[in-house]
Amino acid sequence: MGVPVFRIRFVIGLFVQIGLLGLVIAPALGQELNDDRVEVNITARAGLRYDVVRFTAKMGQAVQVKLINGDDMAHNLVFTKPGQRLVVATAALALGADGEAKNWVPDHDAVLWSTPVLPPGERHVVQFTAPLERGIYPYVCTFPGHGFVMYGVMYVGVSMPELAKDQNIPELARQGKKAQKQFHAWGHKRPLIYRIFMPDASPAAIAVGLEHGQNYCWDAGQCRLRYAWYGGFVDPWPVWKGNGNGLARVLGTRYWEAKSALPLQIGEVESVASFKGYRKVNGHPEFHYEVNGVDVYELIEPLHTGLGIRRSFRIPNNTGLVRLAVDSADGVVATYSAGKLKEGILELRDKQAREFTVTHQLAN
Amino acid sequence: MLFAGLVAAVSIRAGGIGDYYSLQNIATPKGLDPQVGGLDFLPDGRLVACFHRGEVYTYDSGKGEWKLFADGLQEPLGIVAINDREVVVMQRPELTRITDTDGNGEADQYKTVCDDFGMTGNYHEFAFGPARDARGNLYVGLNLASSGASIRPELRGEFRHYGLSREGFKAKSYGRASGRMYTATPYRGWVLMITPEGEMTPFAPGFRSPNGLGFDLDGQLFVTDNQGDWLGTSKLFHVQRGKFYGHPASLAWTNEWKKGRNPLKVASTEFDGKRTRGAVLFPHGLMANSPTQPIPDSSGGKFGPFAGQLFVGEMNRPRIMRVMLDKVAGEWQGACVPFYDAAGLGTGNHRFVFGADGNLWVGQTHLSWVGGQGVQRIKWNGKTPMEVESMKLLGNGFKLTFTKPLAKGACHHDHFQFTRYYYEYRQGYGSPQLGKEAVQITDLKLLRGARTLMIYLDKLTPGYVYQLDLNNIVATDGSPLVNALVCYTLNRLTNGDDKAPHLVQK
Repeated sequence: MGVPVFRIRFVIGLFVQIGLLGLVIAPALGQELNDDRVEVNITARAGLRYDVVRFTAKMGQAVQVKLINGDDMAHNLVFTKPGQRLVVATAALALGADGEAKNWVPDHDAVLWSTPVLPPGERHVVQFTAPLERGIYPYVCTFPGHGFVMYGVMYVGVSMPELAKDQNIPELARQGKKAQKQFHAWGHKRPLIYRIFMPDASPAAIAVGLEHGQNYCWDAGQCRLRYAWYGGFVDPWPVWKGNGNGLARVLGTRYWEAKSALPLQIGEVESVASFKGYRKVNGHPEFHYEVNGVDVYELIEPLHTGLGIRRSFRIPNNTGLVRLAVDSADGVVATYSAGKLKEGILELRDKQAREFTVTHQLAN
Repeated sequence: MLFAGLVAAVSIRAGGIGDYYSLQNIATPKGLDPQVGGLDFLPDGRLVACFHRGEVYTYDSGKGEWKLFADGLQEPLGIVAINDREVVVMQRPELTRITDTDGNGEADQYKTVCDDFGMTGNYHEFAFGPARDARGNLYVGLNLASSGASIRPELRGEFRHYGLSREGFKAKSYGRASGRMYTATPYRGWVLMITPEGEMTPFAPGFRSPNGLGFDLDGQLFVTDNQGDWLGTSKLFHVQRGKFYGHPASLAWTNEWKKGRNPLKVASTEFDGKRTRGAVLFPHGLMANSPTQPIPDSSGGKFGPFAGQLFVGEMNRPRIMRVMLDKVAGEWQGACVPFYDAAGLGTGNHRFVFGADGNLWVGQTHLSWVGGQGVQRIKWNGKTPMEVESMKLLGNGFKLTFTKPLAKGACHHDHFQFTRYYYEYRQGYGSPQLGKEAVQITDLKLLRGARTLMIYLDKLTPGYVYQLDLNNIVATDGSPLVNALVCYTLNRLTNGDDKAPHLVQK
C-alpha cells in the first residue's frame, strides 16, 4: 500500500524542482532539464500513441529527444514546421513503394528533424537546437496511417494550455486517457466493420475503419455513403456499455459528407434502394444493394497515396441512366473514371456504368 | 493450448439440483465481452455463439478452443447454424445469413435475409430469434421502443404513432403520450415469419419484449414476454398466426386498426376480449422476473427425466425453469416449476442449446440490467432427482406425476398447499396478485405404483394461477423433492369453459 505515498512524493518532488529552477513554463512528465538542455524520452506505446504528447523548449535551446519503441509494431518520430503535421503525414503516405527505404520520411520542406523507423524494442536519439521562431511544432509518426492519431507537440516560447483544452494533442490524451479501451479479444486491426448506432445516419448504420486512418459511415437503411473522416475510428462505448442507448463517437476529422439524401439512381424516376448485405474483399466490405431491381455493388477502399477513399461501383446488368451525387466539400477533390459530371451529379449510361470508380481525396 | 483444464468444476450445495447435475464454467477468450446473444451447434459438433459486441465465435469443446468466425454485428440476439460454414443471426437491423464461402474458417459473406421492418434508433428495439420451423422458416420477435428514450432524428421505415407527431417526440414530455412501451415504425411488437428466401409475413402482434422464441418437439411455437405494461406478470405464449397476444401498441400495424386511433385511450376490456392468454404465467418475484428462451429437452433422456418438456431461462435469478404443458380442451396451458436453482449457475440465463451428448449449454447476458455473462455447461449425472414430472388438469383437481414413487405417508393434505390468484390485464406496469386465497383440498388419491397422485380441489376457476407448494415430500429411495413450487395457469377447464370472472370473454 506504499504506492500512493510514493506517487504523492514524486509529484511534490517535481514541483519543488520546477520551483528551484524558476521556470514559468511547466515541463511535461518525461522532460528533464540538464545544463539548460531539454531532454525528453518519448516511448511509442500500443494503441498508436506516444506516452509524452507535449513538452516545452525555449527558443534556441538545445533539445535531445530519445524515441523508445515500446510497441509491437514499427514507429518513427518526425518534427514538422507548425501546422504541417497532416501535410507531412500525407506526403509520407504518397511515398508508396519508396517509403520503407526513406524511413517513411518524405522530402518535404516542412520536415525538420526525424528518427529512422524503429523496430519494436529499439531506441534512437535526435539532438537539435529549438527554433528561434516561437511556435507549436508537431512531432508525428509518419509510418502509413499512424500520423492521424500518433502525434504530439513541442511548444517553443509559447506557454502550454491546460491539458484538457489543448487542441494540438490527440483527443484521447486531451481526455487524460492513455489509449482507447480494447474492446475485443484481438488487438488493433483494420479494416474493421461495426454495425452500430452512428450520429447523422439512420439506425442501420455501418462504421468502417480502413487502413491509413481512413474511415467512413455507410448507411444500410438508405444504401448510401454518409460521411468519411480521418483519424481514429469510433468510440463504441456509449452504445456497448449498456443496452444500446447511445451513439458511437467519431474519433477524428470529418472531411466529406453526402449532401444529397438520395442513393445512387437508376432510370429516370426516383429510385428506391434495398440493402442486400456485403461481402468482404481483402477485409473491405463490398456493399450489395438493389436499385429499382438492379444489383449494385460498391467497394470502398482507402487511397494509398493520399488522404481519401476510392469507391468502386459495379452494376453488371445496367442498361439505364445511372446518376450518383458526387458531393463536393471544401478541400476535397472528387475524381471519376467514367461519365459526365453535371452540377455535382455524375451521369453514366448503359455499359459505362457497369464498372466505374469515384474517389474523394483531400487536397494537400 | 486451451484444454479442458480451464473448465472449472463448481462446488455445489448438497440436497439440491447439484446432487443430480454437474455444472462447468467454460472459459471465454480474454478480452471478449462474454455476454451471449445466441448459441447453437454446427453439424460438425462445434458450438457457435454470438456476443454483445458483434462477434461470432466457434468453440471446439474437445480442444477447448475458441475461433473467431464473424464480427461487426449489431447486438446479435440469436443464432441458428445452417451448416458447418453458415449461420443465420438476428441482429438489431436485420436477419443476416453469414457464410464462410472460401472455407478458411472466417466468414466473408453477410447476406441480408430480411430487413423489412422499422427502427427508430430507440435502444429498446431489440430483435430476438430466429427460431426455425421444420420447413426452414425463421421466426423473429421485434421489441417495442421504450419511453426511457425517444426516437432518433432518422428512422428506418414509415413513421406512425397514435399519439405523437415526429415533432412531438422531440418534446421533453413525449413519454406520457408515447405510452410506456410504444411503436413508431412497422412491426415493432410483432413476431415475424421469414421464409429461407427472405419473404416476410407479419405473423402475430401483441408483444412487448419477446426475448425468447422456440419450437417444441411437436413444432409448436412458444414465445416468452416480459412483465410490464399490459403484462401483469411474465408469460409463455403458444403463438399462432394472426392471434393477438395482449400488448396493443403493435395493433397500429394491423389493417383493421383505424389510423390514428390511440390504444392508450381505449378501454382495456376491448383488448381483453381479443387477446390470447398466456399458456403459462411466471409469477413475478416468485418464479421469474424476466424469462428468456424456451428450449425443448431434445436429449432423448440423456439430460434426465424431462425429455420433450420445455426449459425456460430467467435473467434475474440463478435459475432455469421447466414447463409442464397440458393440452386442455384443445388449447395449451400448464405449469412452471424451477428446474435448476443456484448450484453454480449464474444469473442472466439467456440462451440455450443441447449438445449431441445431451448436455445443456447456457449463455448469459445482462445488457446493463440484472443478469450475468459467460457460458456454462450442465450435465446430468444419471441419478434421477425427485421432481414433479407432470401436472395435468382434471375435472375437479390435478393429477401430479412424480419422477419416483412417493414414500409412505405422502398422500396427505399436510404436504400440499394450494393458493390461487390472478393478474389484472391493464395498461399499468405489472399487476399485484389479486383475489388471492387458499384453495381447500377435498380429497387425495395415490395411484398404484405411488408415482401418480390425484388431488381434488374445492374450487377450480378459469383465469387463475394455481400455486402449489409441496412440503416434506420424499421418494421411496429417501431422496427429497428438489423443487417444491409449482404454478399452474388455469385458462380453461377440461370442459372448455374459460369464463373468468375478472376477464372479458372473446
